Amino acid sequence: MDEILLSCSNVSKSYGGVAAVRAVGLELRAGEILGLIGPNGAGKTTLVDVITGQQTADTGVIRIGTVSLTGPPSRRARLAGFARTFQHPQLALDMTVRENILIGAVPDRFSSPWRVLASAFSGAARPATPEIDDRITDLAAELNISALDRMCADLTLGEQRLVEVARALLRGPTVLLLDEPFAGGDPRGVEGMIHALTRIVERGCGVLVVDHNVDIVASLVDRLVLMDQGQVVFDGLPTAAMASQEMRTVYFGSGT
Amino acid sequence: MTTRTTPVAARGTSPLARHRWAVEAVAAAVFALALVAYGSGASFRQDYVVLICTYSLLALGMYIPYIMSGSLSLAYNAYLGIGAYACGLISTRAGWSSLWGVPIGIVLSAAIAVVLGLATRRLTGFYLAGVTLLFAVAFQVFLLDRVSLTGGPVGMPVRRPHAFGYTFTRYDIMIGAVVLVWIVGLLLSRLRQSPFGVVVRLRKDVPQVVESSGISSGTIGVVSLAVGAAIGSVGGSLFGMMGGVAQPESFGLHIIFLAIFMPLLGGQRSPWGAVIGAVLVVVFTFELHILSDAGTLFFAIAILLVLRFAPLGLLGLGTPLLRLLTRLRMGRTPGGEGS
Repeated sequence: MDEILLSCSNVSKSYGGVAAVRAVGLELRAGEILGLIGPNGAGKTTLVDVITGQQTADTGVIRIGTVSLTGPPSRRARLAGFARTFQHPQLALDMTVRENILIGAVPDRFSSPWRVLASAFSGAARPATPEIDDRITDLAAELNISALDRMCADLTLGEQRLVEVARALLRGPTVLLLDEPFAGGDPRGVEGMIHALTRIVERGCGVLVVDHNVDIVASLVDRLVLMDQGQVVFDGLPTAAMASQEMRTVYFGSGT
Repeated sequence: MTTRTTPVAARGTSPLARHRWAVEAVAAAVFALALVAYGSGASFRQDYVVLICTYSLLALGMYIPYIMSGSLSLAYNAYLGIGAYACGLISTRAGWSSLWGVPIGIVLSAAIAVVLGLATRRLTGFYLAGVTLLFAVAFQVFLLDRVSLTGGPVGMPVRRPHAFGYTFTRYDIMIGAVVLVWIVGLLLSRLRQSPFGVVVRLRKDVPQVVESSGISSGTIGVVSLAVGAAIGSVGGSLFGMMGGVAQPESFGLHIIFLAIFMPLLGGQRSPWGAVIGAVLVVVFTFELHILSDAGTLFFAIAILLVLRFAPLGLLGLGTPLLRLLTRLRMGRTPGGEGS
């Protein structure tokens, strides 16, 4: 767990006069699950958005290995092997579960304009993708996602989050960023998700989990980062974090 | 890892779903044969059939960027015009068969669509529509003003296509047009279900997901526009070869405004909806003499009714019926499969 996959140093992001992220430094190592917790408005999602390129940082450097990460999200995702989920599930509701997950398996087919064009022609000639379908079916079974041909509009919030996680996992990412994956989830789904995460970190993937469910996150992660008002106020082992003064101050507003 | 399960697509689906492509090809072929049969009568009917095919190719061309990808480009009259004028120029200036104009039109239209797509890469919705509409207007002005190249308002002749010493008749062109629509419709239907089609459709609703998956949403949009323009150009070539002339008035903005509503009327979840919409447009605006000049008005009313009562278009009405029939045949209760 020594190789640093992702590092942020001195990253800041403001919206007008509001500083959402202030001089944040963070490291994610290979084979590590890192928890990022904090109250609403702490800057957790903004930080994830800045890392993946959905938002542009005002200052600071984000590196994947030793390479500085810049450009649009698609370039960053290709360079860094990112996969992510969103705070509010991003699914095409009038498409099936299978279709929403499928995109995780095909980025290599769309890595250049010529490959996109070739993919259009090959798609018209051979639309079926049985090998990808099998992978989706296996993953869905692991995450307890049933009936892949349902429309996503028919899913509960917890199921929608599972579909997002499945999409991200199908990508076989090097760095996985999960934004509130456990919110609204049923216990079987959460259990399947934890099992899947444990399995991919064994392969050397780094996982950043942002969630409000401190108990689940603390039991799952190797290290816990606590944010408040855009700043990192604690970075350490989960047991130490749970017992820390900073945790009490942030969540209960007192140092006692 | 859990035990491998049978793919849902192959689990308990109806024979109709399992042989989907064959069923679709046969159903479309029956429709194509009916069109050919209709066109085998009086000569003017051949013009109607080719007009239906031209509008169908226009609507199919718009289907990928507009319905699937959510990019409303309004430059399709230009792509139709490029197809027709390419055939005219190659046959009258170079003395070649006008068939050569088809690939030239395809390449030119796709290239212009790429340039327009790159120039409008950051635009969506109304702004994209506005800029491409300006291009459509500029193209028509170009056709009218560049008399030495385009023949100006009177246009230019498009010679009858020939190959290997055989000159194609109007009937031949009509058959070719129907076969082309059949092939393009089938290919687009397959394309829609392929990974490319899935990514293009996701781009419409959740572009940030496409981007965060490592796929450039802009590139997907530009390629969609290019493929659509190429298909539209083929429609223009057919129209020019059938009519024997390429004129600016044939490629006015009115075509675009009709084309926008074709898939909405026919159905958005299948390219065949665009074809059905094209057929209805021609029937409403040209064929129904009983409606006299009010055909376009009736078309507008039909659009309103469809949007109100069948938001997925006429073809969309069939899906719930098919599902109900399948469930009844399989003895399942509604919702049983998805629960």
